[in-house]
Amino acid sequence: MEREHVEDHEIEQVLRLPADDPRRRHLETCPKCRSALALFLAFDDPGPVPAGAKPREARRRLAGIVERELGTAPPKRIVLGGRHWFSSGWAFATAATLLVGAGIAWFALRPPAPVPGGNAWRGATTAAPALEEAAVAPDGRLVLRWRSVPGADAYEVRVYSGALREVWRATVSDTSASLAPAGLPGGPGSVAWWRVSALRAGRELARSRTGAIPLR
Amino acid sequence: MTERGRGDTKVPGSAATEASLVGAIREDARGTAGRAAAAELFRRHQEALYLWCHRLTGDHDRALDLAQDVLLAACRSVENFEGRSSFKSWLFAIARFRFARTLRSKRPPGAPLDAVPDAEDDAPGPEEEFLVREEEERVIALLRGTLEPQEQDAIWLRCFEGVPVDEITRLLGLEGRSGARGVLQTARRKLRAALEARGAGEGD
Repeated sequence: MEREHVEDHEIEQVLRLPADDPRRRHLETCPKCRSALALFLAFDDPGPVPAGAKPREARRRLAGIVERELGTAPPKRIVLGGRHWFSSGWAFATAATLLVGAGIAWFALRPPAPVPGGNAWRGATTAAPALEEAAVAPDGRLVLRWRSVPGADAYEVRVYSGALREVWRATVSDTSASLAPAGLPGGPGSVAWWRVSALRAGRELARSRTGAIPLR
Repeated sequence: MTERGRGDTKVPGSAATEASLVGAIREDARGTAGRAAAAELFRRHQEALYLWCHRLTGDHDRALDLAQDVLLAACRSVENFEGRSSFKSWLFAIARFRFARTLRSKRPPGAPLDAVPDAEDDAPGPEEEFLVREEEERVIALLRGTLEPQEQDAIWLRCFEGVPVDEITRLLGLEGRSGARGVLQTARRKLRAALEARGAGEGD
């Protein structure tokens, strides 16, 4: 029976066990635990600063988060002309003004409501095609159905065998496909896999999850 | 809830040992000394946390968002820290959980791993998609029976941990060769062969 995996918070302790300890041996032989160990060692010793990292800025920002969350930093006060501008009354007034201003700005600059059936807003993510049906018809053909994706003008459907060999691929303009691919062994309990990509002008907009097709 | 800011409590400073800081947290996590001790421990680990997040996300802003998320979660549950592991291990467990959650939120269950931003030629094949759908112990048995340990690690880190390929290269010490990319390709080829053999067996 498989030994229990090492929890993240236990890794350091298990590393201190003798090399022949079963827990230590498991940590060093199980791919899941060994991967967790590799991530822990990277946490323990992050090595040189990666390109693009800004540790100084991160330190400042993270320290601010901790101080605010734990209440370990005194509230900052800005004193101008003998007045504490960040005293509670002024802080409340400032926050209220900012809120009202933000509300006005949002109302003035809000994006137009989407037109039904029209294009999605630029930058919005396209929903993946939802797989609706995967069944074997009485004549033995596979019937696949999925939900349409706004903006898509075609769909690419791929079918894989249980051994994950691609056995069929086609681009269709409809939201269903009926096919009889070769290379799909039937039999109780065997499965094939499929997925659908929504396309617009030949470019992939979104891709569905990989669904199972129970074969008979 | 414990009252904040007791006047007679000694607040630990930056020279305090981890054991004394942990002791202060365990004594009264919500008191002045407990909170100061937690803040000091977070200060000691925050840079390592940020760099770790950067290695996994490959981007400053995303790393900072993740590190902030981790620290907020840690601050809010610091009173649950029992000191049974080191503070670093405790923080690491939170960081790994939050990173996994971030990945899950970007990728619906069972969705292809290439939903995770990565270089184009790193996009996984259907072998990985198959693995993430299988039961964990079956996957472990399959990997152990099919792949070399280094290949097992590379596939696991890529598939289940969402670690970028370049970072797998560094984590597994594969610099100087074809890196993790080559190891992953070999692993995929072996997995495909194993799955085909299994599929052929099922089809008989």
